[in-house]
Parts: sequence; structure tokens; C-alpha cells
Amino acid sequence: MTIHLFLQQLINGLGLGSLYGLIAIGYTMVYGILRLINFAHGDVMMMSTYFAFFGISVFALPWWAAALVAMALTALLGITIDQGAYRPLRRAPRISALITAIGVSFFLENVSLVVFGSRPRPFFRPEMFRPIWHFGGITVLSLTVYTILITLGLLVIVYVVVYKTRMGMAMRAVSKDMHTVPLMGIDLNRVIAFTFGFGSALAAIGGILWAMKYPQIEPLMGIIPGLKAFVAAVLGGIGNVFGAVLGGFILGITEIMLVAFWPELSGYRDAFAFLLLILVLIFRPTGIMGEDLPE
Amino acid sequence: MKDDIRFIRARQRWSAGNRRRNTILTLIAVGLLCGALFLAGRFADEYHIRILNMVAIYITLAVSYNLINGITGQFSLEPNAFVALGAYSASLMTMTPLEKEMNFIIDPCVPWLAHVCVPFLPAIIIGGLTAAIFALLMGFPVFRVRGDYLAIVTLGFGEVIRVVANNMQTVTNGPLGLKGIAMYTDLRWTWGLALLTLFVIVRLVNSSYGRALKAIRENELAAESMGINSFRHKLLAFTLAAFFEGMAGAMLAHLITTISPMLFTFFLTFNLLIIIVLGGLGSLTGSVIAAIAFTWGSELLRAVEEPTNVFGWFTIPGIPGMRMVIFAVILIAAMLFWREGIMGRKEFSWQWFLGLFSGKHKGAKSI
Amino acid sequence: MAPLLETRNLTMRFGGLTAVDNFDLRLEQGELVGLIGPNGAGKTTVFNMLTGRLRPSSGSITLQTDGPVELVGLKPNRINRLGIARTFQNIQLLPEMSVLENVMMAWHGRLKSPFWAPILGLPSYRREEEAMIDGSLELLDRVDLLELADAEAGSLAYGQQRRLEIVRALATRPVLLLLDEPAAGMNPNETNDLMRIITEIRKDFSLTILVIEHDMKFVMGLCERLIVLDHGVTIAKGLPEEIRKNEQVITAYLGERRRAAD
Repeated sequence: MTIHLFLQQLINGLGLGSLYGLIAIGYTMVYGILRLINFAHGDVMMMSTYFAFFGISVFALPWWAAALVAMALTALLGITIDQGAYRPLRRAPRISALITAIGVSFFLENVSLVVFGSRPRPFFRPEMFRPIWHFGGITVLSLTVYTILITLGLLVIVYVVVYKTRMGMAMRAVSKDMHTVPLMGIDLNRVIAFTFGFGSALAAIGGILWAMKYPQIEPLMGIIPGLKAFVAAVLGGIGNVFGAVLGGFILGITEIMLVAFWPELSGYRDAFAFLLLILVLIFRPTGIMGEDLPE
Repeated sequence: MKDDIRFIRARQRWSAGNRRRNTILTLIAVGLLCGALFLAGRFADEYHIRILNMVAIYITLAVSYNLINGITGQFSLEPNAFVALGAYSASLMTMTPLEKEMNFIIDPCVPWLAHVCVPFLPAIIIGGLTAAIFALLMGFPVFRVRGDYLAIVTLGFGEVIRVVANNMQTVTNGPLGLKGIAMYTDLRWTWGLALLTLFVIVRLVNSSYGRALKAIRENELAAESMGINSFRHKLLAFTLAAFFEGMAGAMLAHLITTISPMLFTFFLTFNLLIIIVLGGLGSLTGSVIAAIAFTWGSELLRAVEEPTNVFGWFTIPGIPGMRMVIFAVILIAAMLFWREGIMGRKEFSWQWFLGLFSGKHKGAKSI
Repeated sequence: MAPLLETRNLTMRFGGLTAVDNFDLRLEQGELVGLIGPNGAGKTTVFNMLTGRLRPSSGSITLQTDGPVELVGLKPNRINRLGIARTFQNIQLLPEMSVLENVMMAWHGRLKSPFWAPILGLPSYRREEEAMIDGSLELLDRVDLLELADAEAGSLAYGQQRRLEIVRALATRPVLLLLDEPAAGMNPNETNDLMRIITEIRKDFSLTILVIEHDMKFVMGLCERLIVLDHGVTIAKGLPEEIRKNEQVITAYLGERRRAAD
């Protein structure tokens, strides 16, 4: 393997990892605050791509406007799911909310199958994401480069939101100890709603970039990325937003490299994340950037 | 001290009086069921026998699924994976070398499997054991650290099973699946397994082990402080559930005679989740009732996917996939508005049943 | 003779906060010792470390059984099996199970029969189950809960629930019993009953007891020795009369009262 080939795979891996990371942030924030695995998160991402799709094809919006509208709608969807399906169960045994989350996931998938049909639809790839760039011996789709840049840019925003705003402080406080927060004069429910909205909007960006990459969408497209993003979140240390992105990068790069080095394993690519999850659980259950929290 | 009259009274009350009476009543009930099944096997048509078989398989699956989810309280999404494991491993055991040769047309079957051929019963047990071994392999890391992740690990495992079944051409025959599996399964097998599962799991749940499992569900902190090893008990419940699910998978494969990776999707797990939720998480009785109701009900629900004629005036077109949407709505609605389900955590008891007739309605025994 | 339980430099830090600082404890066989201090002093944290619920940041805990055993790093169920049982500040019963089942559950850790024994109905398991029922009822009788054996634990009155928790801990056959505010929320009559029960069981089961309590009448009347914690630091140790007069202790508690008054 030449250095060129390696760099080529590295940038492809970073591109893929960015997408996992963007989805993983939503998982990790919700888990950090509610200790809930939001199974519907991958499907929320899928919905965002349909919002964008119809924005472009039906309402003839320019792609960036469609993306913005889709982000807003997805955030709204995330908040609605929480308020409608999870909020009534905050005091119920934890298993109830988990079952509901699976129900919501299955609901979104199957409503989409009924409404949108199971046939994949081609997704629009804007002009600026189409050129193929050459750096030395490396060939990269401009979309991949933009995806990485967008992810890094969003990371700055995430940092500001989580560490520099009152809402972010509240979020971190809730994830440390949910019960003391109402005492601090913070409206717990608003914090949770914000978390769902913010995480869903980021998943929307990830989803739309995902859709441009392949470039097609279908109702079950959220399942596998959702699972892998969760693995990325665990790998990075659940509850830690930067860990989630780091985990995404690691997962994306390893997946791409694995297939590059051992093409005969390419059929098992989707099984790799699972193996990684088991290994993380055995050797470092708190993940790379996770801290041991007292129970 | 032991002669204390209060002491004896409390003790008697606890052992719920008449164990022998209960055993006899249970045997009579099982006898009646066998008689009814015998008649059904004689006179019912193929369609209804098929449903009866499916009811038994669903009872087996729901009761074992409830052991880990309802009784032990560990949220898991494993059934489709373990059913697939059981189905594949048992089918590969019972298929004759000739059948394997006919099936594996792209790549020949691996030598260590190609010449194996065992009768149905050992094949079922191998199916169960395969699932149980994988349950141990997954349960060990998960329960050791973050029980929370059990759901995602089992969900991921379901996907992995599909990926592996699709790719291991020389073992599973890949996407082509296995065809022409002998149809060994009949009412005796399916209901035999259902009764065995019920026998084992009910007796376990009513023993000291069952109390420990419920204690872990209710309050893991207290359970561990009282010397209960929660790790080992979760692993026990999960592995036992997998064992029966694997055997149910073996039954299923030898009932439908054709299996492929596409057959064991998450939909199966989702159905079972609805069953145990509607029956009451933690009630084995509820799981049995709901398994029966669900199997019939979902047959009826097929109507929504087919065109329906209303009074001969106009026709509502069927909506393919609508059934799944309805199932999802049922599950969410049940969690939000009817978390107790049919039985809550109550179980059937003869005491309660006889009370219905003698007018002394004391209510079913809780937990 | 070596003490039954000895901790050295036991320390627990949460992030930057030191909840318990260099806690040294020596419990001799058969003692009844009180652990007191204002709210948030780290008393329950000490219990949580002793029972394996929290892993100390540093320090050691040694229990004398057949020989010395280091407890740091062991799981709660293992520590219980070695002979330390506890109750909780906020009662941790299984409210939907019967009183009897709550006690029987504490027998399970000692069960010898494997899981298939009850399934096959082996006589060995039946004998164990019978012994479990008999033993549990006997214990319930000691704390006047026998009549309520079939009641749901959650339906019991508060004082009864506290007693049930103590009995459940006893059912694990401990050598050392840790009681976390057993008299909290009890009226004076109930507290007197409780003091009588503790004295009795201590004698009958030759227990060593470490108790956290705020009720001064309870502490002064029952404990032979007191340890006072404030902000994680041991500020005094000694006989109840000495502690009563200790300036530092009075200040700590006065501070508490002043804070409460604010």
C-alpha cells in the first residue's frame, strides 16, 4: 500500500466518520441526560433527508434553503417525539421509555415505507459538491472535503453551545445529576427539549450530507448509520459530544481501511461496528473520553 | 417457638395450601389441551393447523422473551437473532448430504457440515445450544459493565446475523438460503416445546431464582447488597431465554421448510415485544394469552393490506405495509396509556381460578 | 486479636470534592459503634465504600473472617457474602413483593442448589426452600412482623418497613451490620421498640453493629463508642459522654443548626 493510497483511504474514512459523528452527537447528548438510548435517532435522520428531498423537488427551494428548512423540521420532529412519546414516561421504569423508543423507530420506518414507498429515490447533489479534486495522487469528491470541514465547523458551534451558553451549562449539569437541577432554577423540560432539537438538527445535517454522498434515500436508510453512530458514541465515551465525533472518525477510518486492506471482508463491513462495540465494552466500557461517574 | 400457632398459620398461608390439588388440576388441563390438539390435528384444515403451530411457537418465544425483559427487567431485542441461529443450525443438521449438495449450488458446503445428518430431536437441541452459546458470549461483556447496552448489542447482533448469513456462502448458502428442509414439525412438536418452555420457566420463576431475578428488576442495589450476584442471574435468564428461542427457531425452520437471511428481520422481535407488553411485562400468563390473541389478530389484520369492498359500493384499496404501522402505534399507545397490559404482573393460579366459582374472589396472586 | 473490621486512610473523591478524607475505623468484635455528623458529612459514603457500592479513591478496608480479607475492589454481593449486611437511609425494599419474599430473597445468595434443581423439583432444593421459609418466618417473628408475612412490603407502615429491612439484612447472616439512620422518621415509641430490637438481635446473633443516626437519644442510649464526621473529616472519636462535651462537635452541629435556620 502506497502512502497515496493510505491518504486516499484516510480522507474517505474521515468523510464517513464525520457523518457518523454528526449523528452520534444526538445519541450521546440524549443518553447523557436521560440515560435513554433513543433508537429513533437514526430514523429521525432518515426523515430529514425526505424533508430536504421534498423541499427541493416539490417546493423547488434552492438546496441550501431546503437543507435549512429540513433542519428546522427535523429539530421539531425530535422535540415532538420527546414531548409526545418519552416525556410521559420520565417517572416510569426505564424499560418503558426504551420500549417506546423502539416503537417510535419502527413507526417512523414503516410510515415512511407506506407514504414514501420502499423504492430508493435519487437525491440532489448540488453543483459545488460535484467536482472531483486531485491533490497529488489523491482523488477526492469535493463533497467529502466539505463534509469534513462542515463537521469541524459544527464542532466549534457545539463547543460554544455546550460550554459557553447557559443552556449548555444546564445540559451538563443535568447529565451529572438530574435531580439537583430543578433546585438550581433550571426548567428541566426545556433543557431536554433543547437537547432533542439540537441533536436532531445535527443529525439532519449528517443525514443530508449522507444522502448527497450516495446520492439516494430510502425509508430504512437510518437503521445501519444509527447503529453505527451509537457505537461511535460509546467508543468516544457516552455523554461526551467530542468523544462522539472522535468515535465517529475512528469508526469511519477503521471501516474504510479494513475494506481497503482486506477486500474479501467487504461483505462483513456492517458487522465490524458491532464487534468493535463488544470490544469496547470488554476493554474500556467508559470509552475513550468518558469519565467514571459515581452511581 | 415452632409450635407457635401464628407461625404455622402464616406458613400454611404462604404455601398456598394444596400443592397436590394444583398438580392434578394442571395435569387435567394439559390433558384437555392435548385432546383438543389431537382433534384439531385430525379434523382442522391446513390453514388452521398452521395457525395453531404458530401460536405454540409464539408462546414459546414470548414466554422466554418475557423472562429476560419482563421478569429480569433487562431490555433486550434478541429474539430474531436467536431464532435465526436456531433455525440455521438445526436445518443444517437435519438436511441430508444430498439435499445440501442440491442447495449449495454456488459454492459447495464446507466439508465438516456437508456430511452431517442427525435426527430432528438432537437437531432442535443443537439449535437451542447454538443460540445459548452466543447469548453467553454477548451477555458476558454487556452484563459485566453496562446492562443498558443490552438492547443495542442484541439489535446489532440481529443485523450481524443477517450479514453473516448473507456472506458465509459455504455455511449458510448466502442469500439463497436453505430450501427443502424436511417438514418434521407438527402440532405435537410445537406444543410439546411450548409446554416444556412454560414448565421450565414457570418453575424457575416461582423458585428462589425467580425471586432473585425479580429482585434485580425491582431494585438491583438492594438485591446486590443482599448477596445476590446480579451479573450471574442476568446471564442465566438471558442464556435460558436464548436456548428456548433457538429451539423455537429450529421448529420454525422445519415448519416452513425454506429459510433465508431475509426471513428473520427485526419484525419478529417487534411482534414479540408487542405480545409481552400487551400481556403484561413480567406476567408469563399474560404472555401466553397475548401470544394467542396476537397470532389470531395479526391474521385478521392482513385485511388492511388487501382491498376491502364496502357494501358493494366502492372498494378501499389495501395499503401494503399498513399492518406494521398499526403494530408500531399499538406498542407506543400501550406504553403510554396501558402499561399494565392484560395481566400486569399477576399470574394465573388455581387458587384464583377456583375462587371464581366459589364466589370467594380474592384476586390473582401478584408477582 | 485483630479487629473485625479495619479501614486505613479511606478516601473518596468526587471530581474535585473530597467526600471522605482519610477515614480510619477499627471495629472490635461485638461492638456497637455510632457514626454521626451533620448532613453531607460523608457518613453514607463510608457505608457505600464498606459495602462495595463505591470504590474508594484510596485506602484499604480489611475484614477478619477466617483470615484478613481486603474488601476494596470486591462487588457488593461478594462483600455481603463475607458477612457485611446493611440497611439504607431511604428504604430499599421490594415494595411489590410480600414481606416474606423480601426476607427469603436475602437467603438466595447462600442457596446451594443450582438453577435446574427447582425446575426438576429435586428434594435437595425443596429442603432448602423449606428451611428458607421457616428461617424467614422465625426472623419475622422476632421483630413482630410475622402476622404481616403475606402483606405487600410496600403496604407496611414506615416503622415496619424499617424493621423489615433490618430483618432482611439479618437473613444474610452477617457478622457486621451497618444501619443507615434506622430511626429516621420514627415516633418515640417506635424508636424505643427499635432500640430494644437492636439490643436483642445484637446479643442473639453476636453481631457487631455500626450505625448512622441523627436521633441523639438513640445514639447516646445505644452506642458504646462514637465517631464524628464533618465534611468528610473525622473530627472526634470516643465515648458518648466525651463526644457530648467535645467543642468541635458542638460547633459542627451548631453550624448545621444555624444553616438550617437560615
